[in-house]
Amino acid sequence: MFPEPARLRRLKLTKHTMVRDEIEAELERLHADSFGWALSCCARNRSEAEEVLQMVYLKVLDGSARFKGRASFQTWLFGVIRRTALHQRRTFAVRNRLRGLLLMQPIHVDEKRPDALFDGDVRSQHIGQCLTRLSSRQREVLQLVYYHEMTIEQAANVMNISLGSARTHYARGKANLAYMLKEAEGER
Amino acid sequence: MNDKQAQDSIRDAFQHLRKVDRNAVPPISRLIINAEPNERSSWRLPAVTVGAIALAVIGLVAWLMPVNKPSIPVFSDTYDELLDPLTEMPTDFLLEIPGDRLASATPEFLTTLPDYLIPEDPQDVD
Repeated sequence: MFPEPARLRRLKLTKHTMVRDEIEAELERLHADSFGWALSCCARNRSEAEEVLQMVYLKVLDGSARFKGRASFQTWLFGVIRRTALHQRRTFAVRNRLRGLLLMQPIHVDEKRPDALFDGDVRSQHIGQCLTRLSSRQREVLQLVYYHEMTIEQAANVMNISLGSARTHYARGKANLAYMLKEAEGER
Repeated sequence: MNDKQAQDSIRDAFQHLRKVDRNAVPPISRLIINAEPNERSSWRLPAVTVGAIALAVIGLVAWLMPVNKPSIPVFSDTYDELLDPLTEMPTDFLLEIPGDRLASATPEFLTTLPDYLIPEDPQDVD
């Protein structure tokens, strides 16, 4: 299924790490969920989400991101996706700032552009708009709990925050999103 | 809207989003196949280019800069020239002679001593 360049073959087999076949099987099993999570981390920008997921798979397969068995594979993988997306966004911002300093045209990622955003249908557009109005923490915790059916504790692990903070973000996010969804439905 | 209704509407919204996303998941093989060349070309080539240019610039500047040859120290013949007059050695007090100032102030007698004939060889004396 996967190509095997020489670089990807050197996976270290310590007592916590999984063998390559196991990793591949897990990545394939979680692929759809991983894509959904990457979409959420990239403000539902499809091309950016694909790029992030590509980088994550490469990191996992060449061993630069190594699963050590401290949490479930999914929790760990989602953490890697989140960090990679954050890093990607930061790199993009720095690159744009440098382009600005060098008097070059900045690269615009128009998140409102219909082909850049993964729209789906009208309803999913509404939901997406409501989600973008939430704070990133609130959006993340709600996505993990409702979309990926994780517990708040697992969500806290993925987001690298305390359980108490995750609960607070969850409660506030839930109230805000419910209000916004009701408002959006009223408008329709 | 009570808490149960809010929870249901949120759950329903996310379920819908999930269903829509599932229909557009890219095949995993495409992401894996594209991963390596993209990752490598994204930063390595610019980094190597910038490094090479920086090295070339440093080399050029070093080559063009005037070379300051180390000056050869000129040694003085006299002790006084070498010795900094302000420098005082810790053992200088050993060279002081008691009554040195008084001795230097002793007036000279303006008389000349008679020119005695002193034979160089005592055998020459008759």
